[in-house]
Amino acid sequence: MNCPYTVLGIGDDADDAVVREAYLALVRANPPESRPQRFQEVRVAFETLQTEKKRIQHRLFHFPEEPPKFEEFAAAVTQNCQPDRPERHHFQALLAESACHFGTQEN
Amino acid sequence: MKRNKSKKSRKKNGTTDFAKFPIKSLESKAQALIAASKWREAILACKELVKRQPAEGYLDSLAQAYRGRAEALLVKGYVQEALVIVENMREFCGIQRSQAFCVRLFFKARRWSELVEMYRSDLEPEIKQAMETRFAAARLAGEITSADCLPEDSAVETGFENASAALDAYCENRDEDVRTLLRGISFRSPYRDFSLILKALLCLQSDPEQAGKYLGRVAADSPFSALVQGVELASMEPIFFWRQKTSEARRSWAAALKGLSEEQYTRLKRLSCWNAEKQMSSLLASPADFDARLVRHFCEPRLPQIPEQCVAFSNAFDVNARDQLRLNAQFFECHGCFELAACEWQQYADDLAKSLGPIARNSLELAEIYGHMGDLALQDEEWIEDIDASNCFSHWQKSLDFGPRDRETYLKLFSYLEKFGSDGKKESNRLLKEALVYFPDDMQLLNMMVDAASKRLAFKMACKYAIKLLDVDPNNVETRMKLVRAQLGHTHKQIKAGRLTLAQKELDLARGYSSGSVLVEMISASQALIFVRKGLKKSAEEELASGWDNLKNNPADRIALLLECRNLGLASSFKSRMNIWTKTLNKTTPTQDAILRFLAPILKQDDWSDQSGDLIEELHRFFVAGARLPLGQAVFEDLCENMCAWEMYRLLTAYAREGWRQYKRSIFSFYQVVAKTENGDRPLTDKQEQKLDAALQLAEDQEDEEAVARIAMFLTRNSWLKKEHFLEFFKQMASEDGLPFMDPFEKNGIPF
Repeated sequence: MNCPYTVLGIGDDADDAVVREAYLALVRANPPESRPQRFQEVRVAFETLQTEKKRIQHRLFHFPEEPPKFEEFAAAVTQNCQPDRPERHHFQALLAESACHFGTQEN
Repeated sequence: MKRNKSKKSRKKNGTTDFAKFPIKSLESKAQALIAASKWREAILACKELVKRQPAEGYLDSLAQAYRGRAEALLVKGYVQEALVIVENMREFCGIQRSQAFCVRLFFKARRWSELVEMYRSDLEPEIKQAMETRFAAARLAGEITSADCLPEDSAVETGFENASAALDAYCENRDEDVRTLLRGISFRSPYRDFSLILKALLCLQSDPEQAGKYLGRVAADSPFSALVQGVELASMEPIFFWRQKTSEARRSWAAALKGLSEEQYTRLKRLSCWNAEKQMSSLLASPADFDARLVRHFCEPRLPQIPEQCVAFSNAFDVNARDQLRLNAQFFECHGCFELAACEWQQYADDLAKSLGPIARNSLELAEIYGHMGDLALQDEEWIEDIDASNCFSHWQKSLDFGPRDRETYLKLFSYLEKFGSDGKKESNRLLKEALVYFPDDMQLLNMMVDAASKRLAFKMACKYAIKLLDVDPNNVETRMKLVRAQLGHTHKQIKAGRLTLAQKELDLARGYSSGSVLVEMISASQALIFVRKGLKKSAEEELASGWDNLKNNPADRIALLLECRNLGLASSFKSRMNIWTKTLNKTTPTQDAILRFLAPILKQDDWSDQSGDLIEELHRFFVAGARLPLGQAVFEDLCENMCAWEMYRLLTAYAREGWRQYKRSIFSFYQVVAKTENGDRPLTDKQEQKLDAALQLAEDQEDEEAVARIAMFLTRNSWLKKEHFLEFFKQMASEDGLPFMDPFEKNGIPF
């Protein structure tokens, strides 16, 4: 459900050149061999916004038959985050959980 | 009732009262209960045995039952209950706890003091080592502290400071410090796996391959492998990250690694438990908490289903009047009210045109809106089956006024005109010419232009556009054929008008376009016609003879030549030659190409002419022999159907027989009878009626409803049977199959 403007990281007023530039940069960063899902997402976003006509169509008539599911929204939010480091308490919670498993592998 | 009562007397709190059992049967009962893993009852039975015969060594059986019960409780997650059972085992049996089992149980129950006590005692070295790694993880997790009395010189305590400091340094982005501190963790340290993970995390973004190598070295049964699985979870595509079933701690850790803030993650988790309306309400209250565009993207498509949130949406995104019209239109579209939607769009377009002023003429947005209104009007028309309203046509036209460079709109208009246009051809041509101004090299438009011009007998124009098409796609054989056909059409026009010199020139042009590869037979026949018109009968005959000889390997082209001679009126001038050719062809082995190129299309109504009908009759032997070719069931059915329509019963006999031989379908059996009776003109014999009955039964078995209906219709027309008989028969069949009855005549559109 990701917003194509968000996927490409461009503003609502982007023109053909800006769309293309953003697309090429993202394709370089997300080659289809190593990140097929992300590449596909970028490709779809580019095809949606490639020309002025398509951008107008998307703005006016884009209306999915099925509203996006919440997990898609959550995924889109997650997709747009920059990797970071967990904090100590994150480590502690996970290790506290795993330390009490002995002998058998419990996930 | 009596029986129930006695049963009740045997039970005490839902268990058997073993006190009444004789010793021998109690012993075997206890063994049976242990074997059946019925631990609760087994404990009671063994306890009773121990009570009655303490010296007989039943304690082992009791310990076994206790242990089984504790294991079962542990598996179910009843840790505290399992611990109680273990304590009972120690009390009643007076035996030591089973090492591995108790260690597992105490870890599960987080009984650190007991675990430390066990760790200090004599344990198997492997168990001790495994405990150390878990202690290390628990120490880092803050589950145990130095006050829990782990020996000060233990590897867990000595390595803790370093590992903990490394973790802090990692969380605070002090990478160099992490590396320095990790150097202090030895290979044998229980923090070894943790050290590998920190190393991997340091290079996760810059060198994922190296990170993978570090992670691969962490043992699968290590408590630190949870962090490895966390990295794996974080590296999943976001949608799978959220779908994956995993523990809360692991997802939270992975979410942090992905870069989700604590607040975002917690909010997403909470939102995921709510219904759509509550989700929208919460998101719209503060859309900036996430990317506002994503929030809009999520909420907007839900507005038609949850209109209560429209006000919140408008406030959140500062929706202006025009946007409101668009949202209204979308609301109506979602609910199938296309007319109302069109009204909203019209208002939108008017408002936009007003705000744009004179530059509105070039507004792509207006063009798109009118195009969309056209689509809506068409949907409305299809729905109400009212083709009178030509709203869509006028909207699309208007769309082209604003944005003429829209190929799709032109194609929609052509398709509309073809279906509904009363003055379709004229309007189509005007639009085609207009479209070709903007899309001069568009193959689909050029092809449409060639076909339209040829239909109007405007051969010169057809040639012009066919040549353009060949410029774009020089190897297209179909286009070349169209070009030659159009050029020959123009040649024939000149011949008819008596302009023979001009006709010859045009024919030479056609020959040039053909390059000796396409429609050579038609060129030959046309050349012969010019000769005949010029009074050069001998030259004409030579031309035809040479044309015929050149086509010796291709019966299909030879038939084409024969047909063209007939069409051009040459057959009467060269009667004897034509007869010889027909005889020759009748002796030739037919090819699939000849059947598919001639028989099939000629039999279709569009290509039918008296000339072609006569030719098929004359080439009867050739085409009958063609029935033996493996043409495919669909082709056979098609041919039989058309032969029936054109009353070519002799050929039909052959094709129906062959169709039956090759495919054993009931419809071919039916066609055989149709051919014999000349579609019912001759009365049905008893044998033929029996054959149809068998065909009807077979059609039923083959579930070929169309065949059933056709055979039944034929029988009602040509025998004493009436429609009612068949309807009765079909009703019976349907009830036998347990299916609802449907009139097959009506269903298959077969009129009575």
